[in-house]
Amino acid sequence: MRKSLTALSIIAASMLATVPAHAAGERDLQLIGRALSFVEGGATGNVTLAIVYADDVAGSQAEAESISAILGSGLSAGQVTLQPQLISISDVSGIGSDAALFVPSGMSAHYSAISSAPSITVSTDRACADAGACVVAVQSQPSVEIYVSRSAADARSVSFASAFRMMINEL
Amino acid sequence: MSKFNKKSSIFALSAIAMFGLPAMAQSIDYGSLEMLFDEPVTTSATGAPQRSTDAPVTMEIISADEIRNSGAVNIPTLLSRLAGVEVQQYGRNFHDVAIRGYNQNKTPRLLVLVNGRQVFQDYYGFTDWDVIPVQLDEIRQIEIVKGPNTALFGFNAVGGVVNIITFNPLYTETNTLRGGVDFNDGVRGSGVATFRPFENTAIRMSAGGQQAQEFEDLPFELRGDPQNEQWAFAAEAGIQATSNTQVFLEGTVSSSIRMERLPSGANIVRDGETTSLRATVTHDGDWGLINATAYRNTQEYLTNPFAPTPSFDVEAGLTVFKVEDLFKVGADHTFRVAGEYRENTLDLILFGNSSSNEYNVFSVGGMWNWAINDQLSSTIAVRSDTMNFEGETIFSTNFGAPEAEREISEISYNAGLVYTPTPRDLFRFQIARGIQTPSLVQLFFSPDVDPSIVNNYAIDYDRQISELNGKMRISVFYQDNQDLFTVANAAFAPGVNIPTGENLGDSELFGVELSFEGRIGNHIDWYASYAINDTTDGDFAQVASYDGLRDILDFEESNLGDQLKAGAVYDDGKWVFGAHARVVPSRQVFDSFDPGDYQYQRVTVDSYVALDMNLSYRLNDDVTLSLDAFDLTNDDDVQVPGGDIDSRVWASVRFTF
Repeated sequence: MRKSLTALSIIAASMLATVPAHAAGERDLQLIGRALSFVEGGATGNVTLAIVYADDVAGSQAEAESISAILGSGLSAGQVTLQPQLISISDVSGIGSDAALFVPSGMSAHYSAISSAPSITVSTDRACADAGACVVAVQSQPSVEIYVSRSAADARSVSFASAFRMMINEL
Repeated sequence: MSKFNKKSSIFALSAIAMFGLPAMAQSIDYGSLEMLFDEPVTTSATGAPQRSTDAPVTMEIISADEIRNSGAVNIPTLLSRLAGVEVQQYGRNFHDVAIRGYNQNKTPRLLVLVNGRQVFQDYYGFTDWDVIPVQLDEIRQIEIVKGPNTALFGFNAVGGVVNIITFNPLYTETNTLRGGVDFNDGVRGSGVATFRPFENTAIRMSAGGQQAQEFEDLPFELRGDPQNEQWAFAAEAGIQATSNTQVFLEGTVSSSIRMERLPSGANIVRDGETTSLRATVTHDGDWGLINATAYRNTQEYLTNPFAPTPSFDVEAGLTVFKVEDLFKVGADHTFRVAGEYRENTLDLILFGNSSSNEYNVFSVGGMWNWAINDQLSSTIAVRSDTMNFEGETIFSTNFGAPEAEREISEISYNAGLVYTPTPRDLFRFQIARGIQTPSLVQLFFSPDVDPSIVNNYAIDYDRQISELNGKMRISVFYQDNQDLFTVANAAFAPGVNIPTGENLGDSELFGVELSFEGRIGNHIDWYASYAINDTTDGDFAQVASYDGLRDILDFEESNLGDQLKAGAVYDDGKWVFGAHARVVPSRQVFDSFDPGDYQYQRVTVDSYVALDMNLSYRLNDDVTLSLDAFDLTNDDDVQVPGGDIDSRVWASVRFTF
């Protein structure tokens, strides 16, 4: 019995480590695109959304590909059109400066590397913003919430329009 | 340079490379923020942008889509469908709108603004809905605050606030043309156009007007011409001066001739013209969002213009300068500091005698919003107003008394706590102190009159109900109204009377509003509300009359009791069908009957059911045909003594381009 419980615990822990807490949907990605419009300097037009994956995080590449499929040839959101690009965690430091880096959930083991990315980092996982690795984290259900890590934003000298700042949750 | 700074610089360069285009979000971009947060955004609660559900005041927002599908041809009709909003109509184009009771002819308790510019007329203390220079097609949303909000908007926001927000030409192009005919001999038309003469400049222009027969039972003999006329013109230019500075310039002119009814019970004809000029600069920088505005409103009204002697002609002006700064400190604290100076002037000709008076108001105020945690936020707003009045009164003009001087200083405040224990549930706790200042006309008649004070305590409970695909709200409130005043005529002999505007007493109001709204399938939106008002008056002073003292106020009888409202709109993309009904209970008001005698008597206004219906068909993306009917079930019913309401049916066509 005890052995069974231990096995179940290991399976559960394994699932928690590999299955994303919340897979990003089209609505989440549109939120990210609209939020980027409120960055000082005003993002408009085509913006590359580089979706990061890590070989040692089971399922992360599949999720990245799933998000890429949602974006298709480009997802229009507010003033921007998000263009997908898959990128390995080992390559984030070389990401183009004109891209935004999307961090799927379950990437906590790589927050340090993500923090070194020169571009703005976005996620649907609040934990990424809580950890200061992501500048923006969004939540679309049950109500829209937007979280901004001040430390991550300051590190990239990213600032937002005052009206936007007054309506979001700064961490 | 340290490594840290070097890294920051690289990031900064990267961010600039990515987001190198000019910023376009110094003024509040309602459309983008609404799309982002999936709900309307408002600044009418605290001055800071907020989601409507986060606002620490009881608020309703009517969206542009709702306006377009409403069939309404004026703003009071839209407001009449909201819980707790009372609209009474006298004549074809004269409306009194009150929030949570105390409605009366030319009610002074509701502050109305267009993009924050006051269209409430201080000189008399009322809103002339007929001359507000806005076309329905250029309205982004109408924000309605229930209860006092003097701490943000200043004097007279005591019953509530209506802030009409138009499309920002820098963000939204609006191009429409609309025309219609009334089956009772009326015609109306309006147009809105937006264009960009320069890359950084956008201009929106609008014009509209109507001409129609007055209702059948109004005393036409006062004017000799039964035509009701109204027109308005407005132009607003938005200029993106720098990447973080915007400039807005606006000018309006409007005119109206129609029947109206004064608080004294007199029925008159008004020929009026209003103008306004405004300049606004907004700057988003290190000091936050700074907004500086200057505007000037003028009103010119001729009363009974066909009469040989001017009986009550006015020229009034309002000049306002105000500066505010909105800024965030840390992650959780938003502040607003503001200062304002306003000057009101009045030139009055009363039965041939000219008089002038004026007042100015210095105001300072502040707001602090604290997001205590994810579930709890608090807001405190405080404002100090000091008003200095000087000038002629009815006693100096007619009886040789010295001119009057007054200084009135008042503190107003709003405090609110918003608690969201679950994503579906929200509680809103509010305490407010509002100030209703005497108007220049009131001070002319009664220079010693004091401001009315409205203390308001309210609790809201909002719940999202997935089964309805909508929500429920229950609002419970208590209002303590002190030193209420009105304008009435004291009759000293038959045909000999003098207007007076003294403080008459106190009144308390306890109310409950229960409202539901939801969506059925993909095509039907519906709403229903039930409002209960329970009024308790103190001992009101009476008005002198040659045969004894007479009552002039009795809000226990004149405030509407229970009100039921319901409506639904079907929209499948081609067809729109709407029906809106409200059950208005019986009440008693005072009427002088003989306009030259002013012997006030109680008169009962019977209950009625008002039903509006609208049907429209979209021929294509650019053309919509409409049939809109109003007051179908209360034809010939009285809303205000002195004239009946007639049913109206409009046939219209609307082009977008």
